[in-house]
Amino acid sequence: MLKVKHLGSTALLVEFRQNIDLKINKKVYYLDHLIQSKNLEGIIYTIPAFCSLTVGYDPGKISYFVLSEFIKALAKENLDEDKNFNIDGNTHIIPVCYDERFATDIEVVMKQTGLGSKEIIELHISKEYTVLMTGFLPGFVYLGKVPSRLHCRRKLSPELKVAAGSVGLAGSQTGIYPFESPGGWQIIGRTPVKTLELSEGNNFLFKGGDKVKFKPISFESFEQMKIANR
Amino acid sequence: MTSGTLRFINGGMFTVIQDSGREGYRQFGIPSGGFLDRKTAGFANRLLGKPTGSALIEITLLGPEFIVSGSLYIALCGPPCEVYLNGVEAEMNKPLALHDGDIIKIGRVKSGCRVYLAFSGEPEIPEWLGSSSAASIISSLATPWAIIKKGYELNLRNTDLKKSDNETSNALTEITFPAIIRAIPGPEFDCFLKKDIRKFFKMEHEVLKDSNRMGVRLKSSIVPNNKKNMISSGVVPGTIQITENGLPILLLADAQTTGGYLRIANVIEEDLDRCAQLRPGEQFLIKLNEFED
Repeated sequence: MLKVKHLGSTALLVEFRQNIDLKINKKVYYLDHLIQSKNLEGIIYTIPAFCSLTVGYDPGKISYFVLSEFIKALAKENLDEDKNFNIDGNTHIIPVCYDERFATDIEVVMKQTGLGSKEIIELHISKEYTVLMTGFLPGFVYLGKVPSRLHCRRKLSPELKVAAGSVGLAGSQTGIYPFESPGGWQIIGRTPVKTLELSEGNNFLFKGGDKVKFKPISFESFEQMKIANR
Repeated sequence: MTSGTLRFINGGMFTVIQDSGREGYRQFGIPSGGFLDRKTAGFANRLLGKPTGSALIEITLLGPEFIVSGSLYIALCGPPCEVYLNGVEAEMNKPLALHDGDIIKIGRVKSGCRVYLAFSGEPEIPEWLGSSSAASIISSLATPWAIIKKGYELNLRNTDLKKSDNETSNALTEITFPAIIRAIPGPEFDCFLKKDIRKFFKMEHEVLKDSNRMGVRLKSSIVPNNKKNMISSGVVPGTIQITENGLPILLLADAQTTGGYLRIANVIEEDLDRCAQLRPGEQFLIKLNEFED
């Protein structure tokens, strides 16, 4: 069911069926949770992704062989198809302003999907999304899955500057830019919420498996919340 | 209690504070970071009697210039590099005592890519997620204190020299040419044809100019036979990924934590320090090791 591969001499890769799928992704986070809860000596970090889990280890403390056998056994015992793999997660309501001042790529999305801007917003807020992965940038969350009518392509060449809080679409996912950075997603709105806190304390708003729902807000409320969040 | 300050007149090309990095946040997309050539950085710290993971200054290709106030010790370690104390050539790889008004000018790194400047005492540098290290892509927001430019001041307390570690012989990263970097097959190794693989692991790879702490870009290529529907997945320092155009990128400590390119191979841990010393224009070989458990 799953494959274990070398990712260098101090990490291994656990590969699930290669598909962006909520059920498979749940298993990734469940396996991650199981591995963490066993507190095995020699494990240094994990990187959960859509349908894979990277495990970093200290070969001085645990060998590739022992660790991979341990993980395979853990998966065999616990990742049964019929089981419920829920881990405790939070549900976040994220306000988004879809005003044209922020929706810089709405025209492209309209062209690619054949939908009007109103329909695009309605579809985007129609679903509760799951945090499938954090990556590409510190704190950048990949949320899925987006209704298939809303799927659109990533930009061929990324923009040099995408504003902090920008909400974008790419394939079956929607994501939020945690800070101003380069990026290639099609931007349809902006949230005033800080998803990555740089000062000490609780730095990351989202963790893997959390649920996210978007709530449309006006430009005026965006401005007010932006000031309040400063 | 002695103390000292370094006042930078010039920041050099790319001069940053680094320590052993931040671990435990990769699941949030935060790379571990930390000094790229860990062996050399550890050596520099130990020369001044400090723990190997202590914060120091990482210098890339062209060094900074600073004036000292108070008194303190430094140790500049790594491949040969121009360094002057008040205009007179100074020695590398040993502790140097500095006093009020001394000026240190670090020039060109003559071979290799990075040298490490350790200092005695405790620096007044903030931390982000448990580390003082500059964090490439988010550095100007999260770790602005870790980027050294003209006007930067580094305050040090308690700058007396601790007893130096004597077991420091031959602890620099060895730099020979051409570098032979050992790697083991990566998860997408089988997406390439055997004959292309053979060629790739025999050819010389030239380091491109736009390399940085996130990755070393190579002027070589290998075209995948099977592009595979690659879904973003974990990458680590040492991962050699092949872009859609067939261009290799060797990831370093500040690389993103997930990527969507084919992972042809991964450099073994022991050879990562040498990767940190790959210099733009340099040619090197990647040798494939079969993994032994």
